[in-house]
Amino acid sequence: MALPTMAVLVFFLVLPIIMIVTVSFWQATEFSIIPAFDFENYEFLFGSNVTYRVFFNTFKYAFVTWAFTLGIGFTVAYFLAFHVRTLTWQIVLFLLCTIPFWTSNIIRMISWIPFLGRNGIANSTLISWGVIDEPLDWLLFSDFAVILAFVHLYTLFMVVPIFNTMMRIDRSLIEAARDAGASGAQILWNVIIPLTKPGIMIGTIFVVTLVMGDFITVRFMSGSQSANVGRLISNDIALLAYPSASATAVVLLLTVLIVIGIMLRFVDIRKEL
Amino acid sequence: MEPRSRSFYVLSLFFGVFLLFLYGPTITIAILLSKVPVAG
Repeated sequence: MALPTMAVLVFFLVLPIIMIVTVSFWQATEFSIIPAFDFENYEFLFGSNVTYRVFFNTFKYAFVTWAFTLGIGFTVAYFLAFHVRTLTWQIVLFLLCTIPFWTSNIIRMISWIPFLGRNGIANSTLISWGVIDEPLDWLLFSDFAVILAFVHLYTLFMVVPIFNTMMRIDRSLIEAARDAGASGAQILWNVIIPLTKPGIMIGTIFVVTLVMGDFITVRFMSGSQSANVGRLISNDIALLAYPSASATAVVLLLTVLIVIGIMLRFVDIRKEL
Repeated sequence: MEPRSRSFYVLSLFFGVFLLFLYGPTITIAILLSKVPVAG
């Protein structure tokens, strides 16, 4: 029974990764790719300041987006799981959250541009209300815009696993804590959050990996003024520098795996799976 | 039925703002599209 799954994993996951690792050791000129085995791409990558700045940017985006998606996702999931009383309403409200995700990521991201632009709705509204005199330039093509778009795109990836874990919490535990005299905050801190950890961890893995691998959001929302590792890879591919792109991809993959490995040391997500 | 706590109303408001955040940009696009004259 496991053989088809193994075959799919080997063909679609293991082989492409082996291919990327192999190509990362090749050489490239302006017009050709030469199969070889040297560390030139890695030496160039680790010898450049740009790499460290871009990786720092990637971590910055991942961390800030994670913090916001966790705060928003946890609150929304908590409301749906513990304050909405009937299953029908839980399903209706949850579906309401998923409807915007029926369309493409790019369309949802680009739809922020007329809202945040210099003459966009946000600036026009703030000026008409007398809150500001001049349009705010940092609303669009800035780190603020990139993180706003990331939070908008990926919050649901945090809501779903947390909501799923919260729905599995035995309600009698909460009742017991209340009977024992625990306040709402104590129940939240000592009962709900510890039992929701696997969901938080799965959501974190989704959000961190998606943000670290994204390149199109950073490109559009920063107006090409900022870069992350995904953009570095994308630029290399545009220049047909596949070995260099592969080396960057391998380093990114290892970085993400290390981050996930560290996170899994703290929580056993097998309970959830 | 048990009366609703104050946190329910606070969280409902938060959920409403979250929905607005999710739908806002799409609604903006729809409004702007409706104002654009279509060539035909």
